[in-house]
Amino acid sequence: MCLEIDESFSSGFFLCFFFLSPADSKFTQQELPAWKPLYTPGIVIGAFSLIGIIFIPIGLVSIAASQEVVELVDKYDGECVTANDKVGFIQDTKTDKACTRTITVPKPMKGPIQVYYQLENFYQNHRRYVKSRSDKQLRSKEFSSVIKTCDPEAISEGGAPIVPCGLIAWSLFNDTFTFSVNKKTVQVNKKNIAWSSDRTIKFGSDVFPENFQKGGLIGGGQLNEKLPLSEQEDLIVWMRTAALPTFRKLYGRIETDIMASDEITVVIQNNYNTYSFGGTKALVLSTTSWIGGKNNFIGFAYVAIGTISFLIALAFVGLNMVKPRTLGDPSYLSWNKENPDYVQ
Amino acid sequence: MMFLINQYRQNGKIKPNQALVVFLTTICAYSDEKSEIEELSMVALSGCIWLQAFVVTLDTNSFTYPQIILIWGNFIAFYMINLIVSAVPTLQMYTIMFRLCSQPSYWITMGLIVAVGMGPVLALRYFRNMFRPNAINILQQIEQSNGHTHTTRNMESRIISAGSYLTHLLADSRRNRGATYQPLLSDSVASDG
Repeated sequence: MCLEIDESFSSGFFLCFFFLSPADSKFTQQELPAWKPLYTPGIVIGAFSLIGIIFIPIGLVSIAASQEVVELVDKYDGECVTANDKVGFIQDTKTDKACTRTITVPKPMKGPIQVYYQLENFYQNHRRYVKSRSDKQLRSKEFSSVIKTCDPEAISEGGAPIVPCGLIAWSLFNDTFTFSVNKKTVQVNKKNIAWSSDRTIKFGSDVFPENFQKGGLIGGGQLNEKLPLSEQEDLIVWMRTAALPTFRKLYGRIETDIMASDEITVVIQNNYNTYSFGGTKALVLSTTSWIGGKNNFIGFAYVAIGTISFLIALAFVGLNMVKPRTLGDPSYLSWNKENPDYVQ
Repeated sequence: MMFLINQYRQNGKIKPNQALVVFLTTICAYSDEKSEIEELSMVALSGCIWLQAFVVTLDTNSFTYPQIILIWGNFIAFYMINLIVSAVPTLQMYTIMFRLCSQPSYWITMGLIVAVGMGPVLALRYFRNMFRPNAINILQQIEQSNGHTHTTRNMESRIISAGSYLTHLLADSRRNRGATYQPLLSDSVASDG
């Protein structure tokens, strides 16, 4: 049949395809078996009850896991500046920026204890800031001059490429924290604070810092030029840009347990300038659980949804008792009503 | 973030209030402040995918296997594609999806988004179908429940013909019921015509 068609190849092919399709399949005749669900009172009330039965236990378990987390937050940016001129103090390289803070532990903290620094009013999600980096340069030595996306921190004053370039690296957080518990020094483990995928792939083991923080403006921390970027975990952590203006980043871990009513003494090197833009700084010590850190929202939201679902189910039960309705009763059709509107 | 959700909403079946549910739930659930941009974006996008699957399921009145395959195939394809993209080292998405899927809080957040997004819709839809049904709802209910269709009320002369037509329609529907029966395409139309 196809050979008899005197058409160009494409339209001929189309017609052949059309003729060859099975004209009487169930699909083309719209006769596939179909399931047509009906929202009966039993199904809907059962669904909402089921949501309640599932959600309330999950919510309670989540709340328990969140309450289990012990979290200590110490805001230090205000107290750790002794001068009236905070910006001048923080920018002066000659001032002694050491600051001692004392925290009393209210509940036992089981190791490992995460040590975070927390910044507020710092928009790491700003578009031009987020884009100011060169992933190629970070990954391999052979791309050290791939700096196109790094403005305004792409080249040093002498014209040589900055490694690592870009605003994100330039603004590296550089406060440091030294801990002692009951006057005994406690080590902070700063290994493996970055994602292993970042350390092994995204940051090259043959890329070393060059011309970093050598310009007129110093934005943050210095880097050890003898260590490859893959081992500069503070930098790697910092370059995972935060989604929100208030964020925490992992500084290190304290592997030992800390008992209740122990006294933690922290010596902070208050180097980082958050005073120019009205930001705040805090030190956070936190244990973790399977749900992550301290986060009550999920648990309470689940309990609330479960409770509301139960209430909706109860409301529908009540409605069906007080005002029972027959499914598919044709007397509800407008022209079957005893006093149709259009007859009035 | 809102741009992403809004863009996705325009292409899908998610209503503005549901988009807001996705956004607020994501922000609040991940308010422990350690999340990166890519993580938060992916949680919100996942929420949109989940909501879309449920919205389309609820809006469908007749399921044949192509519908089921397309609705949940889209859902599965989303995860397959993202897990593949997460395995490419040069992309910003590298390992993001693996990390999210291994967190209990991610799945709990997805459940929360679906419940908050779909609960009110389901309740309102049921209420409307049960207590304020339109003609289509009633005819669907008649077909699906095979319920009793006896009419005993007195009718004005002007609407007797409509009632008779309906009686014929319903009588025919009982005799000719099939899995693919369409109540508005009754044989009585042909017999009356």
